[in-house]
Amino acid sequence: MISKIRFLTTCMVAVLLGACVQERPEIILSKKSAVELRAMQSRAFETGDQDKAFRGIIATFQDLGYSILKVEPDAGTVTADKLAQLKMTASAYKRHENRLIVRANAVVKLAPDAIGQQVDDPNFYLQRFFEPLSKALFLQALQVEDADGPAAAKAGESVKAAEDRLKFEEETDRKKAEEEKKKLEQGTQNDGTP
Amino acid sequence: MANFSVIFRSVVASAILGLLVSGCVSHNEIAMQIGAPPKAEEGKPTLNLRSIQTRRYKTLDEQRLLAAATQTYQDLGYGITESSIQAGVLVGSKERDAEESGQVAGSIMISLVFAAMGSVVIPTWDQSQKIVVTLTTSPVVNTTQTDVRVSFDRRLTNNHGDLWRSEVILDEKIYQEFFDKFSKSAFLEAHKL
Repeated sequence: MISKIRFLTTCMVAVLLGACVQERPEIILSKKSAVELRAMQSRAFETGDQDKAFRGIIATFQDLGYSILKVEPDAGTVTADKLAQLKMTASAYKRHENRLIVRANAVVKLAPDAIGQQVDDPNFYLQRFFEPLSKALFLQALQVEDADGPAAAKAGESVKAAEDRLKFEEETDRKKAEEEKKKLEQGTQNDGTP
Repeated sequence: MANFSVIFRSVVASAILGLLVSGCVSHNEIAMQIGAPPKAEEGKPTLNLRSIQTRRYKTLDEQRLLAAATQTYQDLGYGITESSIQAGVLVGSKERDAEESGQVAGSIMISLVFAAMGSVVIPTWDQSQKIVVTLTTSPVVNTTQTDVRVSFDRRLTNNHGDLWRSEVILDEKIYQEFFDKFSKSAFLEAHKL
């Protein structure tokens, strides 16, 4: 009887210890696509003044109660953390003469000793970063176009509306591409027949 | 009484944390809550906090202001964790004991009361705290003045070694004391906004 109990205890201890060894990932990444994330995390601003934008980001972080962890003015990146539970990195880089792209990425911890999870809610980035930032810069946060991926939500536009607009734009692009393909095919056929 | 309310608040906070961890609330919602701008308990808007945290100085010399701030940090026992003249940023932190005999006694009392009723509550109290101070300088557009903004927050670790509470410090006195010391070491007169 005693040996049975001893055996059971050993088993339980082994299971417990096994749990301790289990490797924990450093951060839980979002399941959303990279394109989707990029769209919600980026905004364009009509200014060429990178220094102003950079200081605007720092001021916004301080307004929101973050403390600054790391600043790199030459690279245009700031990492800030709020009460050891929410960590955000923002970077500002020049796109054209008169246009800056700001991108922010946030990781949240459910408990102080928990694993960080990537925040992937467009509303979070809009309400808790880009709206305060555009107020600090006195500039509108614009959708990001061109090579940087599809447009993000325009200022004041709801997420649903932005998604619908994105879908519509993708659809029109696809249709255009198909039409061009057809034209090309027709063109080669016409060339082929005497 | 004050101790009791602190304990009550921490019990409620732990309960909420427990709920969060159990998966009732998504990580995005928690990020929304934590990411919200800090508000005073009475519901004062951010603008007030900004004016508490900011003073205006008649100089454009950011380097001088940051050097004075470094001295003030050192006078107050803070170590520098990050600084950049180009960006006008200076960050410091210090660790302090946060144990209060009243809170410890109160927490143990509660555990005893619960134990008498047959349930187990592990006594928990604040053990140490880390205070983080962030200071930024920003030249005021079209003037020869510079705004200095400072913000304090603290992260409390309990007797089990877990970080369990954190808050932005909203007490106006703390900011006033900082600026008094800072103005002296910068040899400048501070102007409220």
